[in-house]
Amino acid sequence: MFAFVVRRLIWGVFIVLGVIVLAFFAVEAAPGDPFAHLESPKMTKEDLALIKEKWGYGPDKTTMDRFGIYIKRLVLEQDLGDSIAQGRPVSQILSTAIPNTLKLTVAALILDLLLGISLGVIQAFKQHSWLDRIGTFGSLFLYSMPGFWLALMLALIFAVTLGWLPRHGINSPGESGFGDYLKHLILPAFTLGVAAAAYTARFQRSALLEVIRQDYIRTARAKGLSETKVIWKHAMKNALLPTITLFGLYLPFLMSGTIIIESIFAWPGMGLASIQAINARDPQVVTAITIVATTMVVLGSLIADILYAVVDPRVRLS
Amino acid sequence: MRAVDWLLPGVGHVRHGFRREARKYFLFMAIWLAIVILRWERVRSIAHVALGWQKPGLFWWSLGVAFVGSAFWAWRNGAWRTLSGFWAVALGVAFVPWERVLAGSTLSASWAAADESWIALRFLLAWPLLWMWGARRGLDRLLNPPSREAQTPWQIAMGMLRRNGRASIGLRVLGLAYMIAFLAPVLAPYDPERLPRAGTVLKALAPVSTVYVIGDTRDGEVYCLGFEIDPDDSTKLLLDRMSSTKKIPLTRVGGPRKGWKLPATGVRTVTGTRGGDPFAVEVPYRAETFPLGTDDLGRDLMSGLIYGSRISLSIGFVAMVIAVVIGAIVGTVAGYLGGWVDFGLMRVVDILMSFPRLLLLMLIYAGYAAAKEEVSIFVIVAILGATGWMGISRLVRAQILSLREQDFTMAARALGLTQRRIMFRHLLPNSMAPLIVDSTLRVGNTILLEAALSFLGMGVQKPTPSWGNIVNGGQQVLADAWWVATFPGLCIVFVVVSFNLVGDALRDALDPKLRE
Repeated sequence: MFAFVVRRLIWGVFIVLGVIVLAFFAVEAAPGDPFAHLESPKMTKEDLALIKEKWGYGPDKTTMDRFGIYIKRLVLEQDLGDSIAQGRPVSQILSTAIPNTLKLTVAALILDLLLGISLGVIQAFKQHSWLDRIGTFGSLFLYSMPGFWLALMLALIFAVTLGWLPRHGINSPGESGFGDYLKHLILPAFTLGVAAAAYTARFQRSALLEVIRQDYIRTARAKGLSETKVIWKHAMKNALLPTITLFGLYLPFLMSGTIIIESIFAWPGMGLASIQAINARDPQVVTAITIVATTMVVLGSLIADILYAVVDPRVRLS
Repeated sequence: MRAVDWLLPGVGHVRHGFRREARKYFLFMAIWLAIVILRWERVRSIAHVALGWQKPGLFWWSLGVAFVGSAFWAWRNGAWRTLSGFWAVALGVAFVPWERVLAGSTLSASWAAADESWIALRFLLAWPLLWMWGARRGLDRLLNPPSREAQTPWQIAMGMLRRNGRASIGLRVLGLAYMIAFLAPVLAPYDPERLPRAGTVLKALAPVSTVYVIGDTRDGEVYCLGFEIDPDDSTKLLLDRMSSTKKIPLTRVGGPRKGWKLPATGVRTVTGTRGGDPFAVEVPYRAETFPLGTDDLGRDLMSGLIYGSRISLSIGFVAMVIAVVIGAIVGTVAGYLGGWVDFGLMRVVDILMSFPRLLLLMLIYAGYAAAKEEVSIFVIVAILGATGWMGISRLVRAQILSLREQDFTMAARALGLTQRRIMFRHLLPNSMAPLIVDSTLRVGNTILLEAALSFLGMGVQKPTPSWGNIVNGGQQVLADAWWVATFPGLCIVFVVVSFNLVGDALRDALDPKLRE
């Protein structure tokens, strides 16, 4: 197990490195000028050239040079560089953005597991009932739904028409309480979580149905246990295991989802930051966000694998 | 059951219990006739644009090609009677004075581009032939039901798909959607890119609202009367239009306000004052009704949805094909060759898969958008296809890994076939079933991604309407105009649900493990 984790971690570092190269050169290849926003009548050409020189964009510097400097700073000083567009360290931007995204993602995951597992269990429990049929059809609709549209519809109903929940941002102006924060969190987290919950419910349903057909469940029933006890004490223990692996698969999905959800609800996290950075052609920020997102994905799938091995002794990591 | 005796054009004489097929036949005929009759003006205009009547040479050329082609066909099949019947009809059609029938196109050239009209016209002509062929096959199946033993596995799967109720719902919705996409210039009530004249319509109009239009709309702008009147500006524009030399400031317009009903066309009196003196002008107008309202820019929403369907439906499909081709090649090569090739390719796949796809798409798009002023739809398709193949290659590789150990691969190798032949003629076709299922489910996913990109402003650019960028416009006016964001989203949901239904049913049909 230890060897497995070490091997996966080393491989994860390679993946992240590959992604760094990909992200860096993709942004650099974009012919847009990251300094375009600085140009103003007050600034002479020399000033601009000086600034470019300072940022490593001088006429004698190539993309490879900048890449070398970037990697050196990253590896030796653990420094992600500075944002050209915003003029402050990338780590400062990320230190506010990452916690926001993490809170959103965790809230979405909790919602997803709560809704998805309970719906899946109810559906499997009452297979072929109208509840099961509605659940199956509902989850089909939910995961065929564009996330941005669901977000807009929820905002339209609960924020615009009913006015129960706030439409934008993380806190109302002038307020900073936890209740206010929670109110702002509901819409984005629900949008993000409910689409994933559709997958989870589908998965959980088929997992539980498979377990119910096994012999030991028949034995449990033959002992005269109540159906509730059979499901919750015997079947669920095994049926929950595959759902745990889903967690690893959801991370990339949630990472992509946050980009859209955050831009709709003006949630100041990584997704919003990445859109701003891409529009401003801010290479350092884009690369940094990509690194963070990829690291989360790689770590997430590793954790999911380890968890699976821990909870299910039948699984051997190799 | 009462025996039926019908002569169905294109099918033949039917004297059997043919109810189901006949009902379908008549339904299709009714829809086709309804479209042609109700939209005859539009069909006429499109034919005018598509056939290029200013150059009748094209018409005679195509007639000549059809003559030679059909003669060849008749010679091969010995079907001289059919041929003479066909040409009797064709020559009759040819000598109708079409120039006179088609004259008077009401379409503006910018809207009905020639190739769009071509596609719509061809589809309209090919459709009856398709349904006749389908009814004929249905009749054939009814009279000679295929025995289960004589069917290929593919035929069995298709039979299962046909009997699957959910799949047939999905297929019908998709058929309808593709039909609407093909016939977009015929069905769309207005030019989807036509903007109202600046200052005339100030906000998105609600569904089923009517605007009274003054003057013609051939130059791509609408002049509206009496809607949300801004006494100074809009009316000034209005009179500007009527008498282009004189500018007459008006203080009041006697036009229809909200809730007013007027005949569809007519003459209305516009009153105002000119330099303190009151006056009245007779203005001809006609009504334009927007069934789903207008979007944030004042363009007709329904036409936008109809035209936008072409983008969603084609992008999803073409991007899927690109992704499948790349993924199948990579997966086959990696799985069959193994060793370092496999290792290298799979590591590339690993890296690309851990990159959040939307971020990757946005990056590539940003790079491309900066290089070119305008990003064409083909580029977006290519980007979507080029970033979607990783999952497919893993799937195919897993299939190939098990297939290459089987005896038929050994036999192929023993015959001395080249590696390329073994890979793409023997192994890949055998892993087709899961590939087909996966790619059907992927189309829906790709449609969602394209919509998301367009929504973020990094896909199809306005003014070309696509479902994603209409929702983007709807986001701006969400508080005032719910319909702009709602309807295109519903379209996306229905299409993607249909693709997923068909994909699920295909999986059930193609997976022999699920079959009893």
